[in-house]
Amino acid sequence: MPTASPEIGAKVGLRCARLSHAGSLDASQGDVGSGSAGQADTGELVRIQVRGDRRGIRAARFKAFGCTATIACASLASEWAENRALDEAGSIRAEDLAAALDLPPARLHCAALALEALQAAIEDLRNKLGDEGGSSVNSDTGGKG
Amino acid sequence: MRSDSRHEPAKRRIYMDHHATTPVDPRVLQAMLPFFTEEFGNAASRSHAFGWRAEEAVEKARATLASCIGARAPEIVFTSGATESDNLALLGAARMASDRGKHLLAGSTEHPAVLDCCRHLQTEGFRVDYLPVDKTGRVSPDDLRAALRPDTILITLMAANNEVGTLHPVAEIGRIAKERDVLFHCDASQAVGKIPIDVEAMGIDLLSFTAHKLHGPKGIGALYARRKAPRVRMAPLLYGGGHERGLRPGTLNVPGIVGFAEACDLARRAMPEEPQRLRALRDRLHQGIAEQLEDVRLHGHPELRLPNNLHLSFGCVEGESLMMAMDDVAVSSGSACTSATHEPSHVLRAMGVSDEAAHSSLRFGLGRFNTAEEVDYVIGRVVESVKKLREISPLYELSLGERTQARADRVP
Repeated sequence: MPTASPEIGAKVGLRCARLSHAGSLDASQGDVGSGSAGQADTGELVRIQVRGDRRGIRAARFKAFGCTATIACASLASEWAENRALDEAGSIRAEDLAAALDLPPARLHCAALALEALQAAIEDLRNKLGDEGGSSVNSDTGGKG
Repeated sequence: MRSDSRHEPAKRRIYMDHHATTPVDPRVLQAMLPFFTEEFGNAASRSHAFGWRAEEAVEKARATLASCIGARAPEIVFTSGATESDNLALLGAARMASDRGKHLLAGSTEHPAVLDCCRHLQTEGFRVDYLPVDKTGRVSPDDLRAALRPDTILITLMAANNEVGTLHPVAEIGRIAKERDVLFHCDASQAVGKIPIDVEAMGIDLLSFTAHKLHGPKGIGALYARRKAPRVRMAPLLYGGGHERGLRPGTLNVPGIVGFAEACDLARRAMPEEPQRLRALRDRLHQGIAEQLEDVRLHGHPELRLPNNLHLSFGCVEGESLMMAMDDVAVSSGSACTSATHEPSHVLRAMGVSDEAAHSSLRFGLGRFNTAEEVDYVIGRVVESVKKLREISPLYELSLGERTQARADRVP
């Protein structure tokens, strides 16, 4: 019988004990982008939602089905994404997320999954902002997917 | 102010993972202790009283263990545990019988100790077919009959599954094996001490069992190998002395052997009351959880399973995160996020459980020292943790949405 690997450290435990940024944003709103990564039948599914405009992300929320490391990564990725420019938030590296949570190498994919969801959310937000013409001019048009 | 109130209260820890291992019963430890210090002789030393007394203790233990499973003392071979017993039984007997045939049958939900031996035998030119199980985890005797071939030399099937606790129809399998003159090996690691095992009545030729699953010490196990009708012949895996009639050389672990026999004897004397007590606690745990949580599913046979086993999946909640959320309760999960592969349990898969449900599963194994009060505490922790994790589960949000939609659709 598979058992949990013991190497999940205190940082993951602490983050899960005082979990921040869990929740949902209203996906029907024009300023909310949603992204998912993973699949239930592989044991991990992360959804991240971001609210913002072309200047950046104002709020981020996640929901996660997965191991504690995946949950912690989704929480921290959401925290890091807030108050950042879209490009900046989209280029957060899995290695940095993993290092901040003391993840062992075998759990790097948990960080990658959270970031895949975040990037998909940012992409979705860009599409929405683009479709609605956007409120700001001449900046960031290259970001439209 | 009481002096202890200045400190954080010691964190409570409840052990409910008794399929993995069990604490040594203090009575077992007491029986073992003299054999570390005063009675430390080598059971193979024939020239002095130290050796004689060690040998006497070993033979007494051998007789006790044999009587616990309906065998005779010379049919017990001591090993380091069930994994070694499985190796000796499968590799030893298959190699010795290879002139008669090279085909084996194994249950698809066997423990890795058995499955890995089978895979190894396949590299030696043996062919192994794996018997399917139904959705409760049982093999069907008809499937077994259909899978037997003229060159089948051995069937290996566990008495009780270590994940879902399902009991196989061992006696019926034993009968078929006898009819067809095929050896029958049974890994009874989880079963001995919890359900009655009788190698004669069940037609078992080889039986693996181990001390640490029944409140005995780790590192000591035994293999029962039938000596008459038929006499099972095995090639040893180790060489280096004539111990255990050459089948398993090496100085005997006398304290372990004494502890093993004491543990087995205690379990036998506690039958049938202790299994009944465990069953009642197990059912209390199941009921308590199921009453307060929706979307909880039982894996394994509803009746024909180990009295101390409860394997549940909790919809929309991943098993490992649930296990970590209640870190003061020791249980196991069918999910393991140790690599990018994310393979769920082969047992649940063989039973046709979806991968999503397998990833959402938790195994509880109750033991001798668990109390009703502990069970009630665990119910509370499970319910609280599942609710918390469902709040952050995207799957739960989806399923809630679907249910709301379904209700809305029903409104005319």
